[in-house]
Amino acid sequence: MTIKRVLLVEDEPLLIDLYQERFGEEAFELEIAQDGNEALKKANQDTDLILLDILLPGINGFEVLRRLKRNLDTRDIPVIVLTNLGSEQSDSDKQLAFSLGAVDYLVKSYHTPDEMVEIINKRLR
Amino acid sequence: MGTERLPVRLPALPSWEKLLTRLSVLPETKVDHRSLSLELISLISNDANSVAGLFPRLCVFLPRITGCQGVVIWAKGLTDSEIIASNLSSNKTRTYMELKIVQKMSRINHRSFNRRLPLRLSVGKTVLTNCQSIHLGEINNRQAYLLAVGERAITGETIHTLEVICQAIGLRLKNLSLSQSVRSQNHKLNNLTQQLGEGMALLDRDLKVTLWNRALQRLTGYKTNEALGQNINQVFRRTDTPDWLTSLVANPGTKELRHTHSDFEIMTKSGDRLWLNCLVSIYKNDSNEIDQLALVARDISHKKTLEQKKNEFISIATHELRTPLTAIKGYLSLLERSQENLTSKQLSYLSQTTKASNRLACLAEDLLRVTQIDQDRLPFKPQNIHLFPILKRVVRDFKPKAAAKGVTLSLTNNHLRDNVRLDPERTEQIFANLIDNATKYTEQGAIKIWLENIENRHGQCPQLVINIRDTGIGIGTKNIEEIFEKFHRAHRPEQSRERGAGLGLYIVKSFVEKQNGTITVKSRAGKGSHFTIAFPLEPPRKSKE
Repeated sequence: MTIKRVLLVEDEPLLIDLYQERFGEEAFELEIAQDGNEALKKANQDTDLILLDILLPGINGFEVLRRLKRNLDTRDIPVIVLTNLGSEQSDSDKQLAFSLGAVDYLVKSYHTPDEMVEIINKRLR
Repeated sequence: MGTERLPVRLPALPSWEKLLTRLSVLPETKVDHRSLSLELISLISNDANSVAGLFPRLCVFLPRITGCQGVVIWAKGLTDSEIIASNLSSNKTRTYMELKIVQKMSRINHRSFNRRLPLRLSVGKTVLTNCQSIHLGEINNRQAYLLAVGERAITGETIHTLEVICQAIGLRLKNLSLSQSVRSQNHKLNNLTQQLGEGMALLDRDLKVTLWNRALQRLTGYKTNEALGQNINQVFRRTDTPDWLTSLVANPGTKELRHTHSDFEIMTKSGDRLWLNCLVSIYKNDSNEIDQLALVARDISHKKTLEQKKNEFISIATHELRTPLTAIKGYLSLLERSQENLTSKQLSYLSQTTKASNRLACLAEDLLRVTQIDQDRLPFKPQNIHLFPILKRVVRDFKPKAAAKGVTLSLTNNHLRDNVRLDPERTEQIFANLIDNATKYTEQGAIKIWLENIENRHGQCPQLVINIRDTGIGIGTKNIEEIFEKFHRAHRPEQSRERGAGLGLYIVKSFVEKQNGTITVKSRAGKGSHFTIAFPLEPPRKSKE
């Protein structure tokens, strides 16, 4: 079985450390991109899932998502928007994310790392 | 500056002709009665004659139709008297002679005037036996009189003639002061409306502009001559619902509705956007039809900008709060996973820290929700649902918390109709919030929840009413209306250990009202609170076959 690759697009060192700490225990491989450009560079055919923040330095998450979906190599990678913007119930940011092709919209502060792992593994299966 | 006319009707002018026909008995038959009458009519009724100009001419004219030689018109003030006009003497002697007469007259008790008794006046050595005084009316807040002096006794006919003339002049004076006061009122009102800092307009029942003040010209960019006669919607273009007043006029509601106000954005002539706070007062006539509408508008763009900035700030602040919170809660959860390695003291610290971070997270979420409500950014997705299962779920979630305090939490199932069209998530939040409050503020007793169906009360559609009654600390009556306001805390810290930002009930009320519901509360301090929420009932759905 090949190792699954998850790309975490996150600029906040506090949260990068947190997620690395917990996700490190899991079977998937975690890659980090700290801004939009890096995310676009690192996402490729081998990427199985992208966790995408919205407020990023440089190009924002919505734009990254738009470009990922335009690129033939990356358009089929499921993208979970993982942000602290807006709310998980109906909200304009959530609606925009879905209209751009995100598969889920999660507010970081709502979910413990354990819950995140569960959500990621469900997606990778 | 355009002069706006006010709907003031002047009293009808008295018919001079009619009055003066009573002058039929003129003395000294040598003269042509008719021409004299006409001359008198034109003298009194000619508006071009100012009152000041009228009196000297009258003094000259009266001796021609009466038997008296001298006519003095004078006014009595509180402290002094003044001659207004006279034919008695040349300028030199006048000052002496006439003033003496008037001084004497002033001393005479007013009650003796207007009696048909001749007066006897002595001025120096001269004795005037045939004098008659008749009240004329008010000039510049002073009572004016006409004094007639004759060589021979003044006959009753002459007195009658003089009285009629004086009546006519008295009426003319009254009319004059009335129209002067109307004009000055008009002027004051005009100045007031024009110089008012607030925009002001008057509309007729077809919503056409009849008054448009300077502040409105400044606000909208439309000049008075551009606005007058136009439909308000053409000069006052709302960016959201263009027919805002039309529907108001079409449905003026009950007789009691006199004022209505709202905040909205308009487009000025130059295309700029402007937020206005607008108060509209409706004036109705006796048959309850709309007569006219008065509109007062104030520029609240600055306030709106500040509000927007505040909301943006809270949005950003919430976002910034959430990030460290995510880290705190995340690491705490990692610690919890390895709790077998922790001492009991460390475990208790962990539990306290987790509680504190959860409270902080709730506060951040409430703040965010309030800004979303204020910015109208929370969409509602109404669905046809049954309400009872939602209530059941919320009650189940809160039962352990209530039980821990020894409070019973019960939901009565009386199998009533509960079909409603609501957003299930928001509705669950409404009841979670209310039941959470009830649990927080009740230390003993019970929290009871039950439904009611109310059919066709006051011609309304059937309602589903949800009652939530607790036996908690209640709310002092002084606070009862304010509890639904933003940042309102119903209880002082010494009354309750519960903490919060005072946003819960504001959110509840917004969620209820956004879904066409109403929420009311009755409460007595120390006795408990009773919240009543009503939503329109939907027709029952056919069960699946």
